[in-house]
Amino acid sequence: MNARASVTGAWLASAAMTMFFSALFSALVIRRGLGGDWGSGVVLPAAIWVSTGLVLLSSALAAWDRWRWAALASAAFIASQMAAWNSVGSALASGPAVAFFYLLTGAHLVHVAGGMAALGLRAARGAVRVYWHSLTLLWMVILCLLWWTTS
Amino acid sequence: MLSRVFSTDHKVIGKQYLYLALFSVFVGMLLSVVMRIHLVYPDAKIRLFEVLWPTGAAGGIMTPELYLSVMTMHGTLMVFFVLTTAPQGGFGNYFLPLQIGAHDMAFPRLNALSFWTTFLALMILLAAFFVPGGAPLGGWTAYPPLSAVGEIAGPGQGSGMDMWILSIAVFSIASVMSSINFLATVIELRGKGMTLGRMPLTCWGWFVTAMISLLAFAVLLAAGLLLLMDRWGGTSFFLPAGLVVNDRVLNHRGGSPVLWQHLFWFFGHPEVYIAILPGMGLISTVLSVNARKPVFGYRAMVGAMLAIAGFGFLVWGHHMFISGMSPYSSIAFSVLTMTVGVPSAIKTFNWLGTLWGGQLRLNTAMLFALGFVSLFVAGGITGIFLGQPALDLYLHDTYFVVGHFHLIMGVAAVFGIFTGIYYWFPKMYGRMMNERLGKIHFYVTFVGVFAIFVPMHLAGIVGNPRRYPDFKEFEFLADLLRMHKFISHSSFTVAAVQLVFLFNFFWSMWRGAVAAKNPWEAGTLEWTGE
Repeated sequence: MNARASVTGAWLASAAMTMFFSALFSALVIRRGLGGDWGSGVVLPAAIWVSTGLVLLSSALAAWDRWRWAALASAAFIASQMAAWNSVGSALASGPAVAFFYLLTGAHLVHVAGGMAALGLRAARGAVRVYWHSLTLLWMVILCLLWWTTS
Repeated sequence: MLSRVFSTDHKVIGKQYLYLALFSVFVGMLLSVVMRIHLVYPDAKIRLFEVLWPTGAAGGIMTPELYLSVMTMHGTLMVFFVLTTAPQGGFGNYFLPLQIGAHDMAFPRLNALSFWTTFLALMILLAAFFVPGGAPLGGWTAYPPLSAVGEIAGPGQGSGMDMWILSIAVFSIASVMSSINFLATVIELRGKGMTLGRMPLTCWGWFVTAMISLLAFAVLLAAGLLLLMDRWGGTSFFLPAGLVVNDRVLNHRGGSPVLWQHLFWFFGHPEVYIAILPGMGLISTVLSVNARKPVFGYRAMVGAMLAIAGFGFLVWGHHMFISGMSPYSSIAFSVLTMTVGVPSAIKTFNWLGTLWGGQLRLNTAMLFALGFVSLFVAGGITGIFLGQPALDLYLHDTYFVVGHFHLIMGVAAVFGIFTGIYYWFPKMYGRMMNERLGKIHFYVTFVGVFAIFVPMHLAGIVGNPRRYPDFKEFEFLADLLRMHKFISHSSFTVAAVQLVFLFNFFWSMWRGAVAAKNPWEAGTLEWTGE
C-alpha cells in the first residue's frame, strides 16, 4: 500500500462521508418543511461553541503535524459533545428538532471516533489529515444547520 | 488454512465474491420458483412448503404474508447479493489489477474486510428467515410507513425487518469500502503506459460502477439509519400523524413516507447501473474478441458510460410518479429519463458496429454477450413507456413493471455474469468449460427468459397487479391464468437448465479440457501473465 494511494483513498472516503451527511442534511431540510410540528425545538447548548473551537483547534494541530495534541483536542471535542447532549436532555422521540440534533451530532461523533481509530492504527498521516479536515468542514455545515433549526 | 480463507489476494477475494453470488442466485432462484408455483396452484398442498415454513405454510398452503416475504427475500438477495457482488466484487477484483498491470488492489486488507463484511450482511439477511415472525414482507424497497412501525404491520415486519435493515446497512458499508478500493486502484496503480484512455472497457465499467456505488450506498446507509431510528428510537422521520395500522392508532407525527422514497430511489436508480455497467464493459470486450475486430467507438463507449452514471443520479423520481409528486417534477424526471436513452443507444449501436463485418465466433461466452444486447434492448424499450408519467400511473403496480425490470436489470446483468464466467473460466481455473453444455444452457435460458417476461408485459397491460399472492378472487384475471401457467412452467424450465450450468461449472473445474494460455486470442493483459 503506497502513501499516495492512501491519500487518494482518504479523499474518496471523504466523498462518501459527505454524501452520507448530505442525505441527512436534505432529510432535515425536507422534514422541516413538512407540517408545523417543528416547534420551538431545542435551545442550542453553549457546549456546541466549545465543540466548534475544539474542532478548529484539532484541525489546525493536524495541519501542523502535532498529532498527539490533535488527538487530545478531538478527545476533548467528544467530551464537549457529551456535555451538549446532557444539557439538551430531551428524549430522542420528543420532536424532530431534537431527533436531528442527536442524529447529526451522533453521526459526526462516530466519524471522529473513526478518525482517531485510524490514527491509533498508524494509518498514513497524509490520509488521516484529509479525513480530519473533511470532518471539520462537515462540522461547520452541521453547526449552521443546528443554528438554523434550533432556537 | 485460515490465511487462505481470510486471504488478502485479489484473485481469492474475487472468487469468494463469485461463490457468494452463486450461492445467493440459487437461493433467490428457488424462491422465485416457489412464488411461481404458488401463483398458479394456490390451492395445491405442497409438502415441501410445509417442511420449509411450518407456520407460514401450515398444511402446505402458503399464507399471503409468506408469499410476500418470499418475494422480499428474492428481490433483496438478487439485487444486493447477486447483481451488486458478482460483476463488480467478483470479476472486478479478479481482473482489474491484472488488466491494468497492478500487483493487487490498492488496499488488500480493506478488500478482504469488504468481502467479509458483505458475507456478514448475507448471514444477517438469511437469519431473517429464522427470527420470530419470519422474513420481512416489505419488498426490496421496504417502503414506510409499514416498514417503520414494527410487528403490528405484519409478522415479518418485526424482527425480520430489523434484520433486513441491518443487513442492508452492513452491505452499504462493505460496498463503500470496496468502491474506495476500486477507485484508488484505477487512479493510482495503473502500470506504466496504461493511461486512462488505454484501459480496456471492462476496467472502465468497474471504474464508473465504483464511482456510482461510492456515492449511492452512502445515501442508502443514511436512509437505513433514519428508518432504524423510527423503529427503535420512536422518531418520526417517515411516519405521518394519525396513522392507523391494524386498528391501532400510532403515536407518531409529522414525518413523510415519501421522504424515504426519495432517499431510497436516489440510491435505487443508480443501483440499476451498478448492476449493469460492469456487464456492459465486459460484453464490449467479448464481442470485440469474438468478432475479431477492435471495439467500435471506444471513446464514445467511455463517454456513454460516464453519461449513464451522471444521468443515473438525476432520474430517481421516475420510480415515484404515483407518490403524488407535482406533475411539473414528473415532467422534469421524465425528460431526464428519456435522455438516458441517448447514451444507451450509443452503446447499443457501437456493439452492432463492433459486430459489423466481423468474423464471428459463436462460442458460449459470445452467445451470452449477444443475449445481453438483445435483453438490454428489449428491456430498455419498455423503459420508454414507463418513463411517461401518464402511462406509468396505469402500469406502475402491474406485471408490466415486473417484466421490464427483470429483462433489463435482472436477466441482462445475469447474462453479463454468465458471459464473464464462460469467458474467464480458462483464466480462473486453467480449464475450459464444456461448450455443448454451455450452448444448451444458453439457448434454453435465452428462449426461457423471454417466455417468462414478455407475457408479463401483456398481463400488465390487462391490469394484472403485481405483489398479489394469487389471483383467485379476481374475475377479470381469470383469463390470464393460462398465461400465468405458461410463465410458471417456463420459469421451472429455466431454473432446471441452471443445473446444467452448475454441473458444467464444477465438472469443468476438475475435468475440463486444459486451457491454452490465451484461448480466445484476446488482447487484454490478464491473458499474458502467469
